[in-house]
Amino acid sequence: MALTDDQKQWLAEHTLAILATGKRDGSPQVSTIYYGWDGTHAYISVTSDRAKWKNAMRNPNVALLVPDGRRQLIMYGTAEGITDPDERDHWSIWLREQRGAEVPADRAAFRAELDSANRVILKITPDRAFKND
Amino acid sequence: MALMTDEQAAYLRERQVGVLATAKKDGSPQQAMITYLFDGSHIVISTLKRSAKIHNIRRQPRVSLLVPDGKQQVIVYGTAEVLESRERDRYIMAIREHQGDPLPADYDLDRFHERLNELGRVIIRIMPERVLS
Repeated sequence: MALTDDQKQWLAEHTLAILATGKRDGSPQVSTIYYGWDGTHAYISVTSDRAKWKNAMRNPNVALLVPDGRRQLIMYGTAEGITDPDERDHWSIWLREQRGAEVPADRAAFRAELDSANRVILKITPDRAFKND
Repeated sequence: MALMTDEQAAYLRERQVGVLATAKKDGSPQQAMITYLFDGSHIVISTLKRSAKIHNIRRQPRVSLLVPDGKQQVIVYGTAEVLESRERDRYIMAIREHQGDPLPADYDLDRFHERLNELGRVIIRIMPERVLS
């Protein structure tokens, strides 16, 4: 289901969210994360040794709640993992640009840094969203 | 090791808005922003019996509550139970009092009980098992 313009705008205007994934026993795991929204997908930089990555790779149905005071948008989506170094580097740099962080000049050093930290990207395709305000 | 630090307990007590994650049938998470009350030992949430969260909790009682505040957060993992008896009534009275809307002192408690039954109000009581900040 396509998101409404209003929902897309909400995703574009925020960066902080709560990502929930399903643990092996089926109970939820939650964490606060920064995401980037490119108009169609949400991208999150994670490390492959973290629970959220392992959970999302096992069960790709995830939930992202984007709060703003008492208002919120909840997006249910399907996660896929980006591990290919070129693609991962691309989205890692893009996420930095989105946050207004410094973009690394030395791409090889940046790649080495991402590699040693086990950095990967979670890409979430929205299935449906609800906004209450 | 104590379940939670004094700071974590104070953090939970001083706030009342959080994100509750429960598990759907397929083990993927459902998220909802809720208001809660922390009484020093349990987290209680008033909701409707027919809500998705109740449906989920009856199947998988392990839940998580994330209480955000800017960049700070406390995450509580615990086991939830659904209360529909007089215990529920007492918690709902406590929540109303906490929210500045106490029940009148002379209110008929039997009538209150019946009214809550008619409305399908239930209490989710979470026993914290692991607290992270």
